[in-house]
Amino acid sequence: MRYIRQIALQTVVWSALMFVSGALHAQTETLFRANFENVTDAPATDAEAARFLTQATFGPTRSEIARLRAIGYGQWLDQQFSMPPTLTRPWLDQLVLDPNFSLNSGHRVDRFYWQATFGQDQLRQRMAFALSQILVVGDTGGIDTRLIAEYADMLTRGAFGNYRTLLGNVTFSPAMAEWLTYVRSRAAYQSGTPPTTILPDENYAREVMQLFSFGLIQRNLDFSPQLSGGQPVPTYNNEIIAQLSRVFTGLTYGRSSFTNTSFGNNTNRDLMLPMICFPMNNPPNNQNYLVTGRTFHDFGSKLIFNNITLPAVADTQAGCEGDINAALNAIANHSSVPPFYARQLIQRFTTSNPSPAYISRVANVFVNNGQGVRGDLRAVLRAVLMDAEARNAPSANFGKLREPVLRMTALWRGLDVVPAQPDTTGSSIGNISSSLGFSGEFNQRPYSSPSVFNFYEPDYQQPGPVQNANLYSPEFQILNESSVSRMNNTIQNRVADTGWFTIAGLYTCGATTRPCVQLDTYFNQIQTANATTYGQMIDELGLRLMHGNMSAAMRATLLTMLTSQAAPTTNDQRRDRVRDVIRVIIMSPEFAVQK
Amino acid sequence: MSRQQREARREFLKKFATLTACGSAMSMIPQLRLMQSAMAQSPEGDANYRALVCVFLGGGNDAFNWLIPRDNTRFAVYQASRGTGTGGLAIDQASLIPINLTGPGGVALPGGQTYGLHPACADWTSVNVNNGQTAMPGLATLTNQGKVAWLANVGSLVVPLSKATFSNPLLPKPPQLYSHNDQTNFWFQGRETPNYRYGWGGQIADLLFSQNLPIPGSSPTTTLPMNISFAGSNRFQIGDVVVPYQMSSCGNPNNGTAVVNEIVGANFANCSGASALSNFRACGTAGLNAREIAHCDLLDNSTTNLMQNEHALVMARSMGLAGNLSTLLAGVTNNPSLLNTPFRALADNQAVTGYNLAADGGNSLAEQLAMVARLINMRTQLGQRRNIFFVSLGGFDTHAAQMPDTGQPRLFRRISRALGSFYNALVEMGVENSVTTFTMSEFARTLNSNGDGSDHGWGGIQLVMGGAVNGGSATAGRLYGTWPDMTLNGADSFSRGQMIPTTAMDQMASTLGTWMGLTPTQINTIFPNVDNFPTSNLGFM
Repeated sequence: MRYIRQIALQTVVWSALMFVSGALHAQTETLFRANFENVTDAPATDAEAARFLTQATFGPTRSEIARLRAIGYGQWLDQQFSMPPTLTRPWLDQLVLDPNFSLNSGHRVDRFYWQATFGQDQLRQRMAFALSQILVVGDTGGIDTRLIAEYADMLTRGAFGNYRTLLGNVTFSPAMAEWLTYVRSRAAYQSGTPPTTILPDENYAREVMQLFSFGLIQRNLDFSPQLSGGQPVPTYNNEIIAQLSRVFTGLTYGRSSFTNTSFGNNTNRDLMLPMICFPMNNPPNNQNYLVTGRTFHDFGSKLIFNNITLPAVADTQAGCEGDINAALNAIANHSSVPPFYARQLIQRFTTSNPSPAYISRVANVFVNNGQGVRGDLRAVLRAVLMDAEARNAPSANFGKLREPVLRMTALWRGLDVVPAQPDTTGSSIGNISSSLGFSGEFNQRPYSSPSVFNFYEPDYQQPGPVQNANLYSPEFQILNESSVSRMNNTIQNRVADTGWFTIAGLYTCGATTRPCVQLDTYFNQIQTANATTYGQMIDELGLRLMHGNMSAAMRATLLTMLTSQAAPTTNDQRRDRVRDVIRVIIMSPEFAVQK
Repeated sequence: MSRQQREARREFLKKFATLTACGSAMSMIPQLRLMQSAMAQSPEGDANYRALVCVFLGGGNDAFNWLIPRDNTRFAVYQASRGTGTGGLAIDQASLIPINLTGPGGVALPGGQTYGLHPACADWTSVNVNNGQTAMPGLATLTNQGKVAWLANVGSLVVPLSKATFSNPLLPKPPQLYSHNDQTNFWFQGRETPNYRYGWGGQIADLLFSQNLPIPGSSPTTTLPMNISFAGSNRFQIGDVVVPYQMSSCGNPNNGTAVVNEIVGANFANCSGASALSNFRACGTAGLNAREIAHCDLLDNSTTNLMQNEHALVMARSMGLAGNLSTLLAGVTNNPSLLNTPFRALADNQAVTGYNLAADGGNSLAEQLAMVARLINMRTQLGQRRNIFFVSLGGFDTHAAQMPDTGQPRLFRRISRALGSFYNALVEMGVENSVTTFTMSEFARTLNSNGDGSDHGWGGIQLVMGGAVNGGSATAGRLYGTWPDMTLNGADSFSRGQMIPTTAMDQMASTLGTWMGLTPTQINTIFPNVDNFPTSNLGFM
């Protein structure tokens, strides 16, 4: 079959927004405050509250369900927006004060689980986790553990801030510069014998457009592709990448003091500082660097996407930084950024398959938070969670496969997990996850994605009926016939195996250094075991673990499982009935999909 | 739940088991009628067996440092484009391992052209459980023995393109050139359609899978899917009917600290690569307890939520296959899947003693291929006659730190040693003529340096390995396709040495599909663009 097709490139000139930077630079802290004193927006039922908390936090708890019902959505969100961030690096910094302590990435992941499970700033933690799956950095390349922690904290601090601010912090982060290899990338220069031209690293230029901002295709606000001659309009080509790669040059580590060769070495570098444009006060010609200017930045003008020209800048540190910020302004102002982020944030919080209208409503808030500010992530997140499509009863395929991390934390929180006593003598300080951070078991180790494409991609479609219905199912990309068992075995073990739960006075935890869940409530419910008390136990667990969404058929199956056996007469038997219900819920398809 | 409801769900599970036993799905699916014509002719070795093994080199393999022109004239061009000294990417001419190559049909290459392989492709010494040393072949030796064919400058294309015609807007280009995931999809799909539903490996399997049998003696009756991945989900293996089964490799049994690392190791014997669910036996097993019965009842795929249904299917497949595979692959005593072939990259520069594989980052490709070998060894017990395996090695996105030993040399070392071990294992099983292994990678890289590595390119080099490969004679391998002009911005490349492919990946894949037994009509259905090129059979099989 031979065919010829015309791909006409539509050239669109964007100019109006490009250099309006003042408002974008300012971190907007304006609170959107409605009058919630009368609590007119409270969830009508425990189940509704639990569903919202499943979407907005690392899992509902009994007390948070009650609190949300008392204060309503608006006030709950306002409280969450104003909570100070729970951070990772200060915790690690404290640990390493002990000269006998040897820090590894497991401690960082352990702290992640502690924050996710016990942090009061649940919404902020959840948003940071979502952002970490878009603005991806992984420690798989051997990046320093404290540096990864600082990157995570940066996302946590900026979770409710402005997108442009966050993009700047990401770009100047040494973690990103190492991960996407633009640390020390330089303006073109000659090297070797015979001399060849060394050109800037294109890695970040490509991924900042493809993955961190607007993507490959020009999008309408509802995420539908813009077409030209029936074909999607690309946002850039390889020449634009080459041009943009010239922007991300001249950056090296911040440090306490500088020498003329600091650009090329790590002496006195401080990984906790943002990257800087290296100032060359006295340009040397050493380390095979042929230095022709005062920094290693490419100062020439660049023609980037949408025919935007970044003008030549002064041959100074300020010129370099200004050039990079001008490029970031252009990126953040690209018209495809709002739908790109709206869709992915919706996918991380509420559903894998939002309607175009839902995306469009959220994208509109990204464009303008109502007060003329673009990229207000707080307003965007509120729009994601409070949209009618997220709050109304779910339609047929609404929802998302629970991420492995979220399965674990939802169970811990739902079952009132008690944190471990930190073991300050051993290598397992922290101990929320005990194994110092599930990796192979979950295929989802936070801040440890195998590539910049995250653990899974927003466009992944599970082959079979899901794909045939043209549905997206990102989280299925890491679920397979091996991982489904390994993940579930680990989770079963953490909440239902002997030594991992407590029942007051009867069953104690295996060790104080383990996080253990409390099964008293359900155990006590079936002291007198019959269909009624079994039903009460199932309903209680259904509310806590499945946001009250358990089908009547599933409830009946669980009830049959219990009533088909002789009524328990010993504590061990009662305990086993509780554990059976929990195990079957964890394994169930209904639990697997958050709706 | 009523008895009726429960019976309806049991019925689903029975149907599921039947569907897994794919043969009976034939009457339901029209295109399966084509399968009769797809019956492969008997290969040498095991007449009943034929398999493809796809080795995906993730991140974009800088293959123009893998196979390198060694004659002075062309090496000078290579060196000038890649650069020398600090920041340069050229490999020293003297360090190249010379290999013997001829063109297709054994015709000598044009005057004076010679090639060498990256030094990491050298032979090495492995050590067996009794500390006996075994000389292992690297890619250079396998090439010289005629077991490897090299394909020059192959890549994603819709129609033939040249430097002159590339800028013609009327000629279709692969969408999103240079983008990792889009170019990976192109290689997996065998066509340019963005996010096309199927992969070419899956489509081949749709035509062939019915030749496989249920696992003999399995209860409930279970059939292993024809396509098996040891590297997670991938579009390559997805068919309309065939859904790939994903397994795990068993890791490195001795964590690299000991010199005894082989497929006969005790930890291997305990590992099946298929994780079984704790506390829940497979549905349909006799004597399930109340908890297990409840769990099976809930594996319902008839709800209104398709993701929920899909999760039930994955869980059911996992439970159905894990028990069977554990029994067959993880018996500690007399485990029939085990082989004597050493499967580890043990020795670094022949220095066996003290070599620490873990310090070298392990060799996950060897771990995956060891599992492939064990499954092939169990093909009769598993009822398998046709397979397509998928394994992957990552780390090829060498934007930085390409030249140190922990960069590209280590990547090439891993490939060479893993493939050398795998080939020896195939010989041990007597199926080297029935199994063909090939590499894919989304793109090659810029010849030009960014100071510490290379950026995204286009056309690259792939290899095909096996006894059925027309690799050449016992003393020479073969080079297929057209070697490009390596001048930056020369006849075949753009300014940074991004190569315009001179062979389409469709041609390479069609040649492999034809070997698997597909007809020209079937090939044209799976690869709709292959007719745009001079031939759909490059002759390397």
